[in-house]
Amino acid sequence: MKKLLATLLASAMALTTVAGLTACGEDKPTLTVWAPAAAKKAYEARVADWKKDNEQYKDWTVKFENKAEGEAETDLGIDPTKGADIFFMEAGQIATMESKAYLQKLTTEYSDLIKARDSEATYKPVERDGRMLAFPCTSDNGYFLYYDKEFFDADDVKTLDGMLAKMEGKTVTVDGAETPVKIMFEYDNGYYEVSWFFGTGCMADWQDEDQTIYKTDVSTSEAGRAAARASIKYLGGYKDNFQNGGTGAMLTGFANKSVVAAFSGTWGAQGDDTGSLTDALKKANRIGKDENGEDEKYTKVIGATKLPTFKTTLDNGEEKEYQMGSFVGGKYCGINRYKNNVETITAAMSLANYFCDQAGQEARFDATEAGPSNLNVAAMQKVKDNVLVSALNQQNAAGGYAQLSQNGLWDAMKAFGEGCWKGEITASNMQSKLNDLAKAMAKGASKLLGDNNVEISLS
Amino acid sequence: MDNANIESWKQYNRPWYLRFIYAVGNYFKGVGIMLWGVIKSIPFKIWALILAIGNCCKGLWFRFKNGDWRTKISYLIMGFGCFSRGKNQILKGVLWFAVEAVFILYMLFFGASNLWMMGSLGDVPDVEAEIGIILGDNSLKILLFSVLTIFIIIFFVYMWIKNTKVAFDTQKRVEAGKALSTPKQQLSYALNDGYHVTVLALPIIGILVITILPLVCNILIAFTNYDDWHRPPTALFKWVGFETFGTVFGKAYGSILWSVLGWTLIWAVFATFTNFFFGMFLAMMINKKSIKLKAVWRIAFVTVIAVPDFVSLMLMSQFFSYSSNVTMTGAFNMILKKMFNNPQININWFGETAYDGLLPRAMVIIINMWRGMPFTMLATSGILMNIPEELYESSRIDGAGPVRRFISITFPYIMFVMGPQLITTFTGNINNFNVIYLLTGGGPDNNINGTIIGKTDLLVTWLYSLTLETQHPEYNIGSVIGLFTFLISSFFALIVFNSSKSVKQEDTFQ
Repeated sequence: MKKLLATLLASAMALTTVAGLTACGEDKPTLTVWAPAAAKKAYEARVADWKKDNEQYKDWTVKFENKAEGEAETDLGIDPTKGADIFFMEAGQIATMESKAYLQKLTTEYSDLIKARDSEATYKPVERDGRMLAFPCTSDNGYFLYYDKEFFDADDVKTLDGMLAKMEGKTVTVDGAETPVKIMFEYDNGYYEVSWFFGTGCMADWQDEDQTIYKTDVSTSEAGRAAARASIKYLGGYKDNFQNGGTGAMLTGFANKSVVAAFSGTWGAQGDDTGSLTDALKKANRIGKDENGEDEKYTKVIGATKLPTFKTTLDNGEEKEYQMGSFVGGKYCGINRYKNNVETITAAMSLANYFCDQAGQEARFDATEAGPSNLNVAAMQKVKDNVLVSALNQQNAAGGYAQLSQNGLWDAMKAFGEGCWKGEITASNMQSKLNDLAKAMAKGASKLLGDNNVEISLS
Repeated sequence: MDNANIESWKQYNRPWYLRFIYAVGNYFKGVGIMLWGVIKSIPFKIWALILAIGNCCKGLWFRFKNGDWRTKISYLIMGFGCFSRGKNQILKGVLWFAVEAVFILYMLFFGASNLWMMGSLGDVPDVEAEIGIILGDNSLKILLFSVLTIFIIIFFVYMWIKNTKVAFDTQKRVEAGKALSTPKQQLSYALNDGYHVTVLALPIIGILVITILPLVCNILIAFTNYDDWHRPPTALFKWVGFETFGTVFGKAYGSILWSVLGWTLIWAVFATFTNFFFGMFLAMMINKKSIKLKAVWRIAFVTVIAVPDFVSLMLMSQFFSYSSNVTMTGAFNMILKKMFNNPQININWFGETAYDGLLPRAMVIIINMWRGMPFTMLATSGILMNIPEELYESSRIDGAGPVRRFISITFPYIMFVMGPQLITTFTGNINNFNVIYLLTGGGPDNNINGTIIGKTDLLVTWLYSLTLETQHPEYNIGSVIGLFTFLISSFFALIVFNSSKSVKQEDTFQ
């Protein structure tokens, strides 16, 4: 009896493994969308419009999943057949996604729509033979300078030297701790540390579609050495005036006045889980209600403008002034080709169109202050007045570098920036550290090219 | 005193440093002898394997030659030897035949095609269609299913040999005039004498498919070029032999591998032995007769391990967090500020790179002590309470001081019981991913000749950052590092365990 019971139990356990299969075979058509949380509210309204205008999609369910744009590529890579139908991604991921064939090419009908309504700078990177790889949805994947209007005037923030001169000797006491005032610059994040290099005119890109040849002149050209000297001079020389940190640090720092300037993008004002920039300033009583009794916004004490200029020495000792560079690009909405179902893909394209057309971009701007790629929306007064969008456009025009796919650049620049700030990288070991930097940036490449296409040894 | 049986260097009239040197030398001599013994026996083991295979074939041929026509046919149609001998054996025969039928069907529809492509791991990548994609070969699936097919073929060959034995035995029984078993007898055999087969069949299949199959596939990946640029479903990867091993041990990663291995071993030694000794001293302190409220002290320390790893370690990493802005720095720095009345205190506990990252490394070892001491304390408490008091009394009468008592009585007792556990902890600490990753994430990074590696990175955390933390994972290099870690761990485990007293004197302990 006991043995029979034991045998039955064992087979029951085996059968439960089959139970997992019951999840298959849902018959209601569903579309999954990976979107950042802040944008989700804007897009849910558009889903309702989409269903109203399209009878055949009335019964479809649209599921939103919270995913930041930077994570789309890695998560699709795990298993593209199980990924979302629609996802949002950054300009830097286009080349890799294209080489892995994740992006469904849009039909000529949608491609023409995009050409008519979006700015050329945003749709050029995704155009292939007249057809688009993804819908452009914002143009604001870049960064600029936030500054404390009570500390700096508009003239001070034009040059980095001017800012540092004004900050010299000034301290702030918080809870008995005295700290020099700081510029929040994420020197341990490759996204920001490249400012020095793109400012002096370096380049760093894959040369071929399969990403086997990488070209960068950071270690071989005069511009690279000048940028390294600038990084050493400012980060190492003024280390008490620079701090790293993300959005959270920026909010706390502006609230308690220990941070007087910050390098960030439009997402900075959005804040994080603890609240937006306006909330943080209100909590610290830096803003309150104005004469009419209405709530003030952060724009009362925080201004935004393009990045400052910096001075550095060239190889022959001459001093030259450069504009700090930045990555420029937009955010895009892509369709997952690996879902491999004609009906789902067509429905996904139609829905994505609703996310990225004029009404969709306007809704997104209202929710997240995202700079639009749609020409009509960009011409609206409320967008033109928006201080962040205009700062970003200024910076893109002055020092933007198109953000194509990168691989080893992030970790490489992180180590370089940290080394400069800690004082480990100095003028004496600068060249060897630059060589290590170039090799790490070319991670995965079989060939590394420097200035004038001269091949640099990878070992 | 009869000194004839004590080895000459153990005599008490020799100075202690000479005795120590000889003891160490003896130990390594023992290790060497054991290793040489293992190497010497390898050719014998290979010869034994060949003999076993030869025996098997001889048996097959013998049964074929001496079998009647029914047995000979059962070589082709499994089960024929059974169901052709009367109605009692039909069930058995049909079951054997079913095995053969399922195998042939599997190979026809699924197995053969995957096995055929195992050499090339796929020829046709996915092709883009107008809408959607035309799926081609998926290298990973081919690898998985061909290994599965090889397992099934091995299983089938075993069943086939078994079948010939069964047919031959049945024939012998009929010739000897004995009755053949009825279905009822066969069922009762399955539930009684053969019960272990019935009940273990399912778990063994489970283990094979869920544990051994992925393990074999992961080891095979070390011989391919599977990384982000050759990643199914979009691209194919292929066999590259030992090229990946060459990359890892050669110029590209070579020096880094040895420096990471060095830190891994130092970490394992420190982590294990600090926990062990301090836990032991803690247990001895609490165990002293003069300490009151023993249970309260023990509970206080055990609370630490009641909280899960993740929670307590992440809390610790936040507690010691650092920001270069003194107003935003972490909790411990704030406490130090208040304690020493110096508002400028701001130490980067997990990121200081001075002296080759000494501070983060020391911090990691200390926090691991905080978490690990209670375990050792509990274990040694039990052992300490069992040491007979008479030993201590008699040693006190003989005039032994506390240190001598510890070295000669307490320590040998504890080592005898905890020896194997110490070795397990040591090999476990070589792979202690949680502590390092949750506290420092691998530690302050530095750029060594183009590769970014952290100062507190172990082999496992490096493997993790190569495969799961980067945008372009390199699975084949991760697999090689995994194999290397396994070799190191098993090397230590086997050597130290084999030469430990616990094995040599298992029966006698005085």
